Order: sequence, then C-alpha cells, then structure tokens
Amino acid sequence: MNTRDRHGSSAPADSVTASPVLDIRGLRLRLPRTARPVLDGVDLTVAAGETVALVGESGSGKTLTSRSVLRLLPPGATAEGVVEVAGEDVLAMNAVRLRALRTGTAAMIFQDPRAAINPLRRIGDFLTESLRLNTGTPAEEAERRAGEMLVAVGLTPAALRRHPGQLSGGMLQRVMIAAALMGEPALLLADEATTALDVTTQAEVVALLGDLRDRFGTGLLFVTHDLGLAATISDRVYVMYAGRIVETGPADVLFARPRHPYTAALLAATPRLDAPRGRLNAIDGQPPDLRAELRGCPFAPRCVHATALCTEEAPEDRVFTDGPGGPAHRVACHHSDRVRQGADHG
Amino acid sequence: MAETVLHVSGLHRRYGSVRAVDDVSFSLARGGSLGIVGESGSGKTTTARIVVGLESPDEGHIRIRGDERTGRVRGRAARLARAREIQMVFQDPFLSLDPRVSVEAVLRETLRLHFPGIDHARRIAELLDQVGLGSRTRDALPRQLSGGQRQRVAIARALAVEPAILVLDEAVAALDVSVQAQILNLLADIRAETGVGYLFITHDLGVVRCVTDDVIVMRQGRIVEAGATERVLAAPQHPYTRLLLESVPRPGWDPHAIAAARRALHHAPAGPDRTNGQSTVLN
Repeated sequence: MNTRDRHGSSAPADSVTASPVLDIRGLRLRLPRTARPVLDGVDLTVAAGETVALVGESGSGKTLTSRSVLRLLPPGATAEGVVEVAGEDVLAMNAVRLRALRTGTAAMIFQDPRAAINPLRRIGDFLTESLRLNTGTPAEEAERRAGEMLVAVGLTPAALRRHPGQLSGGMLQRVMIAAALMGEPALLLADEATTALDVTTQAEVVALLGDLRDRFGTGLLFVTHDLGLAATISDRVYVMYAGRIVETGPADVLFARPRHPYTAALLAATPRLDAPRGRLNAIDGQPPDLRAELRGCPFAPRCVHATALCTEEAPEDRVFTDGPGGPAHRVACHHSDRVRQGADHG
Repeated sequence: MAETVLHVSGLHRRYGSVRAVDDVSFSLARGGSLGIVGESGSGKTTTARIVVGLESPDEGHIRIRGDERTGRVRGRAARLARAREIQMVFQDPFLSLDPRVSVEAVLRETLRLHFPGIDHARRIAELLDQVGLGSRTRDALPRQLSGGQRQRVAIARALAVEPAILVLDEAVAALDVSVQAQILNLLADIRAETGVGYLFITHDLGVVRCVTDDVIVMRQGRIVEAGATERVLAAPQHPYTRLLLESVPRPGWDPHAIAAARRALHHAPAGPDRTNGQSTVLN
C-alpha cells in the first residue's frame, strides 16, 4: 500500500497527454535592491492527480515559486513569464479571476497551521467563511460540507464547534487541509506542510494527502527541504538552487542516479539511517548572495567538478531519458556525465 | 568504561496533571555522546532544562563529576560555577545571540565573566579557529552571519569556558542539509579534540545515528528504550522505537501502515516494555 507503488506508475504516463493543472514557463522574478533575479527562468508542470516535489534549501526560491502560483508576490516584485493554473495565466488575471483562483482552483497549506488560523473563532467559522462569502452558499449548506471535509481528513464534525487551541498540531493541520479542499481545488500547494509535525504525524498527513489526491484527482505540489520525503511521496521532483531549476526527473531515477552535482552533494550530506556511519560529506561554502550578480553556473564555487567553463557560461538544460517512454530527466550542468552517486561526494 | 561526568537518577517533573518527566535515569561518560530522541511532548527538552539547571525536578538527583547538582542554581557564584561545568546550545542562535553584539564581543564577554583580569585575545582566536570561523567574521553582528555561522558562534561561546558537558537542544534542526552536515562534522571534531561530553536532544534519527554513541528514546515523559545507538536503531525492541524508525520517509515507506500502528500504540499504555527483557536502561 505504498503511495508511490499505487500511483507512481499510472500518473506520469497519463500526464504526458493531459493538459497540466499547473504550467510555469520561464518565470523570472525580480526584487528591489537585488543584483540578480530571485527566480531565474523557472519551468515546472503538475498534472492532474500527480504529486510533484519541489526541493531546495533556504533561499533557493522554492517558496517564492509556489507562492507565485497564487500571485502572492513580495512587495515591489516584478514577474515575467507564464504561470498557468488550469489553462489561465495567473500573472495576467484581473482581481475577480484572481479571487476565484485563490478561493477555488488552487489552495495552499502552510507549514504552521497556528499562524494561519484565527484562534478566537470556531473551526466551523474558519472552514465555511470562504464558501459563504465567495459563493453565497447558505450557512447551513456550508457547515454540512465542512463536516464532510472534516470526515474526509479523519476528524469528526464535532470539531466544527471547537476552537484552534483545543486541537493538537496534527489535528489542526488536518483542519487546514480540509479548508484547502472546501473550494474543490484542481491544484493543492503544500509548502513544508509536514515540516513542523512529528514524524509519526507526518506519515498520517502524507497518507491523507495521497488518499485525497486519488479521490479528487487533485494535482499536488509538495514544497520541501526533505529529500527523503520528496523521494518517497512524489512522482517527479524538481531541485532548485539559487532561483533556478538545476535538475528534474522521475523521483526514483533522480535519487538513485542524480546527474547534477548539487543533487548528488545534497544526498551525500543528509544523515541517513541506511548509510555508513561517520563523517558526512558536507558541501563547503554558502549559496550565492542575492546582492551579487551571477555569471555561469550558480553552484560552480561549491562544485567539485567545476571548470573554467562553469564560471563563464550558464549551463543549458541537457535531457536524458532513463527508460523507454519515461518522463524526461533534465539537468542544467556542463559536466553531468561526471556525476556518479557515491563517487564524488560519498 | 570511562569516568562518568553526568549521572541522572529518578528525575520526576509534573506540570499540573501532566507528568512531563517520569522516572528518568541515565548517565554520560566523559567525552561520550548520548542522544535523547522523542516527539513533541515526550519530555526530552524538559529533561535537558532540568539537567542544566533551568528547571528543578520534583524528585531525583543530578550529579556532575560525582557532585550533587540538583535544583535551580541561585546566586551569581553558583550560577557561574554551574556554567563552567555544563553549557547549552539552542535550536535558534538568532534568539540566543544579542543582535547588537559582535562575534568577538560575545566571546570576550563570556571569557571576562568567567576568567576576569586576563587578556583573552589568544583564546578568542583559538575559539574562532576551533569552530571554523575566519578572522573576517570577528567584527560581524549576528544579522550579518548565515544560520550556520551563527550556530558556530553559539558553539564557540559554549566552549569558551571549557565545560565538561554540552547540551545541544535541536541544535542543527533549523539548518539546511548542507550546513547541517558541516556543523555535525564540526561537533564530532570538537568532541574528539576536547573530550567534552554531549547530551544531544533531537527528533531526527539520522542525526542521532550520526553523532551519538548511546541513545534513550522517550515517550510521554518516560524512557521506553535505551542502549547503544547502533543497536537501538538496527534492532529496536520497543514498539514505539520501531514506529519512530518506520516513520522516517525512505524507499518502501508505507504511511498508511504507520498511521495504523500509531493509532494502535496510542491506545496502549506508555512506559517501558516491561515484558521485554532486552530493553535496558543505561546506568
């Protein structure tokens, strides 16, 4: 009953023909007082019923990418490119369409449920508010639907009359998922949605998200810093570094045989239960500062394979097909053929 | 077996009706590294706070190098004496460093407090070198440093007094993977060089495996399993330890089975698996 086994095989094959629920093309985001774009040509798709992980460290731009799907941009930001949700360009939407997007088509679950909910109001008020205000659904009908959603996430309708302070973190994150599902979204964005939870609770929430995706055919974009989690739950993975997608491919292929030195180095730096004990292969140095301009590959200063070419010229995507008919494995590296799991960093 | 620097026996701490710490005993050898793992509410942080003297236990004893150290420390001299024996590093160095004080001044202040009247320039340079901070960071303020650098400063400050024990409370939890690896390697080096003992509080089993010799697993205030880290992680005896291990995402991970196991365990009473003779408590 593994999530990947049950869905991993079918979803990506369908996604080749189906139009994606999320299609980001060439997204470039600039912030005031920075020397380079914080997002620099991001391409990313999520198909209906597909789970996609977006992985990166702090400052890589993974959260900005997921927030720009709802056009939640930082003050002063300018965006270029296309962000399409269910065929509609989010960056070009008027206020009315944007509101419909945020309350219906796409929904986001954040890391800290307590920061996203008013502690003084009942769970029922929180869940039904958007539906009543935006679709004019009568209170009784909205409450009934909220009760159904609470059952779908493993709680009981009795929780409607509770206040947030009366629920545990795991239960409250279920409420947030129920709230996200109230508008029947085609796309669910989970930004570190399980990071603040205990590991056993995380498993429950992940199991729940998998079930709900099957039941409603929702596309799921899972933003996380946790490589193990990304590998386990997703069909495809995108790895970000310094505002760029450096590698993307099927989750099993990408983690078994990474082709970007950064992905390989991240895997080698993660303390794992199944690797030999002893010193970790830390990545020296720091990610590039936003105040400095970038020439060439952003990872070059920290990369064991870097050559003069890497500091001169930004690498184009190379495409590998790891199996016949399989989804593409794209890597932005001049020397991806030199990367071998375990050889350079482990 | 090396000399014992920290010996904790029969700790109890209640908050109202909640038994936050319920009969906890363990010991830490000189230069050893003991992990305390558990989820939120397991009592691991309360145990750490009692050990460093930030909280006092209702019952139980703490001995450091054989001397009784139970209870809150009162008075300046006693506080300083305790601080020279045991130091703590927290999860978020941004909250534990004064935003207006430079790296060098942080270390100078600590050294002057404990060893007044001597020049500390050499010791400061030595500490910065020990935690891998270049001389260029000497004058930096906390906000000018990265998360990893700030944690290095916090570690340098803790080491300044040459404590026998360092309590690390989720000290690498907020760091990115690449930086976390640097800090974990640094901590391993420092232990090998100085012989300081670690009490390592964490929820991350991968981290525990990486930096500890022994581990205790806590649940609802009690120790449910204890032993050599390698043995406990390879062959867990208590169902809760097994659940924790199975919950770590990896190939073949089955969230539905974990959710079911968690519910089953939730209805079972907490506490050590008395029927299982192989569960041992470190003494």
